[in-house]
Amino acid sequence: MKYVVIGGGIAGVSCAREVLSLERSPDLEVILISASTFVKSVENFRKIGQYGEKFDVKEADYSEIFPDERFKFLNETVVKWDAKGKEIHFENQKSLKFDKLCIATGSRPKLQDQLGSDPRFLFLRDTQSAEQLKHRLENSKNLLIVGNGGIATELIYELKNVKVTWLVRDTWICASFFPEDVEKFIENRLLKGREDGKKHDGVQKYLQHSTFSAESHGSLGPALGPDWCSSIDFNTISKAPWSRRSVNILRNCVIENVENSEEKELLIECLDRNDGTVKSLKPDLVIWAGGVVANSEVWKNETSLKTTENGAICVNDACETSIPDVYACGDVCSMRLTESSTLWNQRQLWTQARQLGEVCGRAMAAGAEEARMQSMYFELFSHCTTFFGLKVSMVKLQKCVGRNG
Amino acid sequence: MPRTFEEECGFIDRLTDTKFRIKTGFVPNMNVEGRFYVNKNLEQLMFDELKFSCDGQGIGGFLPAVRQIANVASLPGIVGHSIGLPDIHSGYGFSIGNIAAFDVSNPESVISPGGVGFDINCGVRLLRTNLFEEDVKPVKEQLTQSLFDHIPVGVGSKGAIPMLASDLVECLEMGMDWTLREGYSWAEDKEHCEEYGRMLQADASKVSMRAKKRGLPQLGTLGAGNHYAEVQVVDEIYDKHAASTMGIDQEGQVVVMLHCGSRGLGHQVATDSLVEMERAMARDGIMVNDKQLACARINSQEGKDYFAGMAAAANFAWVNRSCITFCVRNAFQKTFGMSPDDMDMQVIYDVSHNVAKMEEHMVDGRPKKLCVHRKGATRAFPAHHPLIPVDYQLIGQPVLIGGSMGTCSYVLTGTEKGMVETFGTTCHGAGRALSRAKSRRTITWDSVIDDLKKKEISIRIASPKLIMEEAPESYKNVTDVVDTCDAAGISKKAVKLRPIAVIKG
Repeated sequence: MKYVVIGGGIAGVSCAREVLSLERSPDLEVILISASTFVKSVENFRKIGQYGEKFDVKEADYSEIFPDERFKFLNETVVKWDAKGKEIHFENQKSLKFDKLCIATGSRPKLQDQLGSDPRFLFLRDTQSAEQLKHRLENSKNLLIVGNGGIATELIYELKNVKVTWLVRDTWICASFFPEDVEKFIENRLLKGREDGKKHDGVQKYLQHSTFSAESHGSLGPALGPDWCSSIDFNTISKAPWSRRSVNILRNCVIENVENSEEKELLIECLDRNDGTVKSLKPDLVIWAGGVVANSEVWKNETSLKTTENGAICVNDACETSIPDVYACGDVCSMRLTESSTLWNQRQLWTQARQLGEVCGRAMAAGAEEARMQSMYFELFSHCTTFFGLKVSMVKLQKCVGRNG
Repeated sequence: MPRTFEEECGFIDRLTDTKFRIKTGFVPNMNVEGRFYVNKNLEQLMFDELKFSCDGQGIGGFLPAVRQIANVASLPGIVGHSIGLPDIHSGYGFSIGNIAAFDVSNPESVISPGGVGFDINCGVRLLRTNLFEEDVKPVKEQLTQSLFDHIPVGVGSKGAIPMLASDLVECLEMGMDWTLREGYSWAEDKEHCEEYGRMLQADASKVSMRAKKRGLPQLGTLGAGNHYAEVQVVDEIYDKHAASTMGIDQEGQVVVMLHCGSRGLGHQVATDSLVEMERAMARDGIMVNDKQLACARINSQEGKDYFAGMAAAANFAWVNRSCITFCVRNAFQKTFGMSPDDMDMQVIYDVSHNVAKMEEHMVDGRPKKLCVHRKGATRAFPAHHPLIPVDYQLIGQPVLIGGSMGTCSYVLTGTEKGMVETFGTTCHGAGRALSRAKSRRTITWDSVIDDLKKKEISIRIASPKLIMEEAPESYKNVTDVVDTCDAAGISKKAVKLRPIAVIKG
């Protein structure tokens, strides 16, 4: 049996791990394909109560993660596939046959296709872009951060010595995680930023990988995991005398227009939905940590593969797509449950990436019925993380401003 | 008008130094009298609890243990007495440490999930080794860490053994026969286990999908709360003959004690059945004093379903203890570079202390088939009983009493007197004295850690709050409990053990 997993993020790696642990046959072949040579692996997994789970994400070299001879890693970019012939084609004209396929290609920032080539924009989504962040910040005086999710929140908390404008689509900050009532508490903490010498101050831990330039590499790597911020030492950058830390929050604002012709200064016009006025912003660097779309373009040439209008691949509660022997998990999929729980909803979070990956691996190796034994995951939303140096455990999000919200 | 404490005490009188009687009339509809066993120190705790309750200060939302014993005595079909053991403390419906036996031939007789408890077949297993304290001392920290690494611990920990749902169904039906087949257990392990590690009445189809879902990832995990794995040394031998029969020859010999149960699966089986039972009670017109005493007739569909589901959960617990035994043997092998076989790591015995069983006992001079509920109580059959292993026919069944963290544990043996007075049952451990919340409030982290350090006990713990919750101060004194059982004659002291390393959830 040849199992092919596309994507080296948490979902893909968890899927491969589950297949390797459940399938004991020596003829098994598990091939993980990623556009980046680094993959994410889950470490120090701990359950928190009956539903919650907590883990560290380690960036590992592919050779380190599975000491199993049945496992192979390919550093390739998929360009085409043939569902009937069970074959995928790579950029370098090569191709690979599969018996069962898992699509775990994740998601990518919404506007990256239009604006990705402009050096004044940084799309913060994967580890490579986080590495670039450090270099870009050094020359930036006037920073615009777009997005209201976990990544934007963490970044604002960590940034030092820089003037930040924060553009938020919702009427309150962190709306995707917290109800409006706690906004003041969050705002206080965020505006203050990380204080030196306090508990949880400074770099908590370094991601264990070497810095390598992503500029030479067009493709997307795996999404950021928890603790991504701690891999960057913000103390060492932006020590320029002109910049004291300041954060200006623009709530309920959406970008109307972006003028980014190369000769002129960058101009961003945004609509303030509070009073209907249009504001002009002239940042020298825009960090995009906003919405994402499923990274499913390459799979769509097969029309029998059902997708949502947002491009996410539809899967059932066992991660099966509309094509037999093809599975999807992680951010790229949209799960439709037969008996949907009002307490659960899908979100692009690493907790769910791991769970979906595990369910998917189980379904591939042992069948859909076995995978459904894991469906406790889809009864109640839960997510454990840290924000601004505080431990946060969430169950059933109140307001869910997700991708579809 | 509720009775005063003094009036309440009028219903309780002393029979012997260690035994009290609760007279009928203490609560309405009592079918039999209550009995409880306490010594001087424990007596104080018992009556204080009743007094607090009379003064209107409830404890953790449960009735005081004496009243719970009396309420159980009012259940239909109960025979003998409703019996409280020295480690009794109040629990859901039945107190933990309460035994109740129901006559199976009486169509009115009931079975109650509250009388078994939520952690079905929670139990203790003792492994011996041929190592001595001085062999372990130099590598004690490595050994403790190795055990902690090998045994999955904590509330939601995942088992080390990859499992499919089809395997789980086999576990539930086969119990330790499954672990034997898969190579996790030794053939001898099964011999030294209550019911030979398999309740034949188990029916996996009576275990809900939800329970199976909860159980699947937890197989082979220790869990949290009072569950633990301890490396212990023999501190004192009271009964040389019994001890040597168990393979314990000298003081200083190292043994390993495991305490765990059926995890989320057992809890779900119990929860599911409570719903069914309430329906059955309404249908059959069963009246009880306390809503928590939900029950169904033994011979009704609900009663049979519960028993089959409970038996399956019991099998799960044995599989669980066997998987952890496997982990322990591996950890020792790694630390000492010797095979577990060479270290003579045999199971001395494996007891269950939350279970209901169909057993034959003498009632009024005649043999009767009874459904014996043991909640926080250990079976302790005497010598020559047909249901105990051949190896222990002459000394009586070994009874393993786990102490609280950092205190001692005991091995007892069953006695003839226990067979007559308590349906062959004795205590199960220390028994809580303070609620978990109260422990966290009143006991400090440092004091517990210092105490353990003074006693040279290594500890690895997954959830820090357990340090306070499981501190010895939170429990009754296990020595008092064991001495009471010994003095009352319902079991006999054989060996005292003291911990040198603790691994907790």
